[in-house]
Amino acid sequence: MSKLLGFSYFRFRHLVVLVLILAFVSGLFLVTSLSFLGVYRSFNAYLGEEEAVIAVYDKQSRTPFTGSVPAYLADKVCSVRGVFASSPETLSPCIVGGQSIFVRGVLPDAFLKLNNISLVEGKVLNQTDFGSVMLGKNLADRLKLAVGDKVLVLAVLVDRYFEFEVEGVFVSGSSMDDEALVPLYVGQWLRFADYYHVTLIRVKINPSLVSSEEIYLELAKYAQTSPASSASSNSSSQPSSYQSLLPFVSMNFVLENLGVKNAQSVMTNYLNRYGVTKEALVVLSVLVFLFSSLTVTVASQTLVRQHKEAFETLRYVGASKRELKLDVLLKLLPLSLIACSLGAAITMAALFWFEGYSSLTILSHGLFFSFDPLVLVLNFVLVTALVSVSVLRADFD
Amino acid sequence: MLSLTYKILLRKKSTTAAILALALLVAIISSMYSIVNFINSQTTAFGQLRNVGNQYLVLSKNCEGLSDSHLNRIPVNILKNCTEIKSAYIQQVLEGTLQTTTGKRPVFVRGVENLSAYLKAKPSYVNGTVAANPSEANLGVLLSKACHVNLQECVNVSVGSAVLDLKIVGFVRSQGQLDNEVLVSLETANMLASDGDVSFIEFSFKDGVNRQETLDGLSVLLPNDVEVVKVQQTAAFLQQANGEILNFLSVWSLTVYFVVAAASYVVSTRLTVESEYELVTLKAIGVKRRRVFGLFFSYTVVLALVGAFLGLAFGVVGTQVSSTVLKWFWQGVLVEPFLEPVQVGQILILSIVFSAVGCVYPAFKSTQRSL
Repeated sequence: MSKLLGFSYFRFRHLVVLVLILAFVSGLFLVTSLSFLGVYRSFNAYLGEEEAVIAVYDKQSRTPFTGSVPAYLADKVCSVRGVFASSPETLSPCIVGGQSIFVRGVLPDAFLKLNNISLVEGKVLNQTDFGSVMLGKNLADRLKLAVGDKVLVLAVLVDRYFEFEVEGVFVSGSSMDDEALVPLYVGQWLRFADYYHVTLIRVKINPSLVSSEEIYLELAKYAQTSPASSASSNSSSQPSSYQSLLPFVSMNFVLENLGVKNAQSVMTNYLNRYGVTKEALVVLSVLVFLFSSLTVTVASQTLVRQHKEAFETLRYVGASKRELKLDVLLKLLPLSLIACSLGAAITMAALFWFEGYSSLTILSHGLFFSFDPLVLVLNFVLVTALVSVSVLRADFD
Repeated sequence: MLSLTYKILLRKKSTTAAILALALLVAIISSMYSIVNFINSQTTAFGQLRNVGNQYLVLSKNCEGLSDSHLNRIPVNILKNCTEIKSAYIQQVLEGTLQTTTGKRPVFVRGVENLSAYLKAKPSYVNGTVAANPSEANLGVLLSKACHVNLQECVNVSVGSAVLDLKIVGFVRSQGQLDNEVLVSLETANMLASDGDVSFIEFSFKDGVNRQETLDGLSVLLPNDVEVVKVQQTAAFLQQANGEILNFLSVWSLTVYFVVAAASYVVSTRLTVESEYELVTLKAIGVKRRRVFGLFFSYTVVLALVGAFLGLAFGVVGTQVSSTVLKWFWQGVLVEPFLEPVQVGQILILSIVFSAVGCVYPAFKSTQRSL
């Protein structure tokens, strides 16, 4: 242990400045990594965060919004033991009031079995309410719409326009709060050339009874047979009023194009395709930290220069350079911890403001942030390592 | 004397480290912006690859929906006289009630001039025939199923106090909103509305026409209370998506600018510590405090300016070098980062402003040194 620990030669004012500089740099790393990881997590949670929710999706599609899956498979999946409910859904980008939004076409009864939503205003959609829309609370606030208001929706993927009346406003505590819900047929107007396809099918399962692989094998049976175009038989889980309008029609599909996976894995795959991985984002944040490291080095060396006289005195009374460096290091390490904590507090305040009060959105969805303990530990390790290197390389002559 | 002192300060060993510290911080911002600019340019180019969508609506400005829009005959005549337009369908949309044997249901009633040509152009499939006279109507396939209406059945359609009995002569399937509407001739809709109003006009251009030029010409001719809206909004959506990413980046870059201010504070403080001899000499020869402040302040601002320029260069060149290296490993990956002139100006100005703010206190402290 350092013999010089009893000597307090650092001026308090200078230490405060160093702690603030370290806090700012630490805050920059944390804001970068947590905001990027927050966006990453928001996308991953888009189709559902529960382990028990899996998705039947189109492996060939380049984005989660442009896939195409035969709708009748929602009926077939429901017949598998261990499946609670299946929700065929369409996802379509649109423009409303000059603002970009995403519209999700659902079968309300099936959708509500997978998603817990609370009604804030109005009433829940009926599957034959073709002229109605339910808005997530965040979207309703952003567009300044309330129950009873009319909206003109302009599609992005097809040449279509619609007029809707706002039927209800809901809260789900997920990214769906930034979306509009419409009956499935309406969602199909916005995406497809027919009523027989959907973007994906979300399925709620009992993981102890069935897995995504078993569901895939079950669906594979229908790809191998060559069904004629006939109405499918009624499935016990599908509401009969839906089937009486335009029933799902069985059709051939290419099994290799179909994927069945945990919902979060589906989104992760899409992001990974474009090189956006959790590791890449952390590496990017570390690079940002390294680019700002020279500031910390200069600040540490300035601190040493500011106390030059004290170090000279200690050298005269017999302290070696090694002892001085060790002593400075031991005195600054606790300050690094304080600086990291202060940086984390600044980051929390900033992200709290981003999430709650700013109108920042990515792909029309608000951002949800959460603290990752690994990132906090990495932050402390980086700051401590940087301060140590700066002190060890400082000139104590 | 002051210019000599300035030269001495600039020649100090710590000047290079100071410039580099600021340059690296600015490089973070410029590299992020240059990569995002490339991504945005690709999505914009994708959205403009071809003229996506050829349907346009003429509506009254600031209307909430189609049924709220009211046009007089002026836009109708303007569009009919425009030779670049392939087809224009005048329509009236009303909110009404459909009364059938199974009950009542609120519906949209759409009256179209030349309904037969409209349905053919949509395109749509008609099971039966297209309504040809004022006592006939077509029903969207979904609406017909929901209300259990059969072909040739008579239904009651009311709009306000106006009520009409209409015979359903065909079911329409268009994979659009028509599948949920009662479709009648414009004459029938006018009878229900008890006026000769038009809600909106749906039109499309001929092939090979310069659409933007024609739209610009139309906007001059059309009344001020009317607007032309493109139906398929691919470019607008992509533009908004790009804008969201840029907004996020702008807010994030504020944290970098705060670190720039902190770096500037450190640079000025270090200069004050290392230039004790020069400061004392200046005081001894009677240089005013204001001039000493100006000297240290301007030194830091000059360093910030040089650092910002260097940082911009590092950022853009660094990302371009990285993308070249990526191309060696991943054939077919072509990333061409760039910065917009506006962004260059913005980064320069913000870097200098934040650096100036950061160095004010140390520069002020340097004037307080006593002999």
